[in-house]
Amino acid sequence: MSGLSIGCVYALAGFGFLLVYNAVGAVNFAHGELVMFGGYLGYAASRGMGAPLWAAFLLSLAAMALAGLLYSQVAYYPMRNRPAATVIIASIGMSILLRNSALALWGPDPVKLDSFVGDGLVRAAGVVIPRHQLLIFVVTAAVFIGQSLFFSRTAIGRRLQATAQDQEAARLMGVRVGRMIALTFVLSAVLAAIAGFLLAPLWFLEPEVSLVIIVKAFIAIVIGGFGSVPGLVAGGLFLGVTEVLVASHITSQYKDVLSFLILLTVLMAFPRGFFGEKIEEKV
Amino acid sequence: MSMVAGKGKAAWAAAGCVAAALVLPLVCGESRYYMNVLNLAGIFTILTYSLNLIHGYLGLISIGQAGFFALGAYISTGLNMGLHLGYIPSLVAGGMAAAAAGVLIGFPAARVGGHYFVLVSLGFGEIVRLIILNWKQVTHGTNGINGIPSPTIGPWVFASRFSFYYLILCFVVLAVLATRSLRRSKYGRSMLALKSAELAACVMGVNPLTNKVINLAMAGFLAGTAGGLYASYIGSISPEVFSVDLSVDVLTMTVVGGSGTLAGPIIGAVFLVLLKEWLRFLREFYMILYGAGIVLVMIFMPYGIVGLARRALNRGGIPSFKSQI
Repeated sequence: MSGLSIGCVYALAGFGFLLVYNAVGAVNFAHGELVMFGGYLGYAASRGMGAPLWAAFLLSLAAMALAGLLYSQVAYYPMRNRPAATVIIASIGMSILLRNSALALWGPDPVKLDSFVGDGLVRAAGVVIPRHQLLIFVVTAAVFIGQSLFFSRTAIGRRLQATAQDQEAARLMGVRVGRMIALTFVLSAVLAAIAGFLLAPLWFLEPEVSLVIIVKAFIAIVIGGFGSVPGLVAGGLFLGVTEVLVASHITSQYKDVLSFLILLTVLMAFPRGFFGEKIEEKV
Repeated sequence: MSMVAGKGKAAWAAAGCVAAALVLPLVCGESRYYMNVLNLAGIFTILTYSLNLIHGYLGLISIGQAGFFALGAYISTGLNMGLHLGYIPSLVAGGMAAAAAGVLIGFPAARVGGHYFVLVSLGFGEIVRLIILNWKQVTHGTNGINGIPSPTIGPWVFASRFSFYYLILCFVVLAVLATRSLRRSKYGRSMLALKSAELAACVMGVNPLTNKVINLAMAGFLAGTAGGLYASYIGSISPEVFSVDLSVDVLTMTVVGGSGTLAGPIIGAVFLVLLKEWLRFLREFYMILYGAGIVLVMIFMPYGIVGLARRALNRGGIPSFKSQI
């Protein structure tokens, strides 16, 4: 059960990353820091300013939306016509900037963020699960169902999808491509904040946690086949469950070594993941 | 004509650089502090040449150079202290072990594209670090290995910072020569073809697997050797040195200097090592500026200091400079 819930968080964290990748082909290695910042902002608002948790959540969402907008203007837009490696290195630069800002603002010690539903347990049909884990399942389901409706049913969602599929064609159809790309970054950062709020009560928040998040999210994406949303969810759940099983039955010291080995094995054996990324390349 | 003139100029410039490097310790040899900074810059230069191969010739981004560096450091130290193999054989063996690791990650690298390799390399670096951290019987975990002897080659002992400088200089020159001869070989040209258009290069008969594996083995060897030099210079090694931060430092040095160029790694490594020393008073804010600096470099000077210099020189009317990549 705890494997499934942590897997859901990996999938949520990966979703924001994937959104940007699918829309503009940019790989944002600072996404782990965005998730961490979402959690830290909530911590700062609720513990530091004494705001109620829901207010801290809204504040964090708003701040992260703004951060996403800023991020796209600074670390993506000026480099949109350069090789992908340029954007990747810039995002690594952003990740150092954000991680060390967190270190300067909140220090290296782990801090804890409360859950919306407290620490209690729920008994249902003979199984006992912590209430926070139940919340994670509900939110994850809501986000993934919500996104599929958003992208297929609403006008703005369709415009976003058109931009992701073919920027030139979308521009000819009257879609404001620049704005859609900025909006994608905003959505990605908002999703990061949600993931941060779900993750923080489960783990402690510390600046180094961002690296773990991005790596796990990335592995989930790779397992699912780069680009596929259902694949991502399956990949996240698979990774979460495997980790918990390995940690409890075999070794906890080498848990993270194992997730990297999974990554390497998947890349060697199934370079397109279990669900397959459509690879098309033009000379 | 201009090619010949360009070559002559480059040879003079290279000779001038080596001469300057030879007399540098005589100028600032009095200061133990600056000798230390120079030696560290030398070790980082070799590491940066290693990433320069991967990024400059294959276009791949590695944030796992610390893994090669650590392998070289631990294996050469183990062979030298445990089995008394002698300094140079141990150093070479450490480099070879790192080269073998390079071959290992060359296989997934050949099958998947750019952004995957970032994570493959990160994963590799972290696996090495975690194993060093947890395999306490061999590596002593967080305590590390202390009392590593100074390099001894035949009758010579490189115990002082002054003498060590010349040892490192030899290896830096070897790294430069290796990069230069790769650039002029069939393999170097094949790698650059893969970098600019992989599919087109494959159609022309360039084998991506062979070339990527050779490249990563060479890069692994350079970084592993740098690791062995580092261990014998500092005298102790422990896992926290070989973190992602080190790999990111190396990446920054590569892109700031000018990736894929011959002079870029030296310029980038020396510049950033000095910058870190001068800005030491900023403490944790240094790393924030560092991150911002990387983003700014990517926006305003994607080809690094060398690219900037080239552009400035081209405006001054020296077009042949460009042919000397």
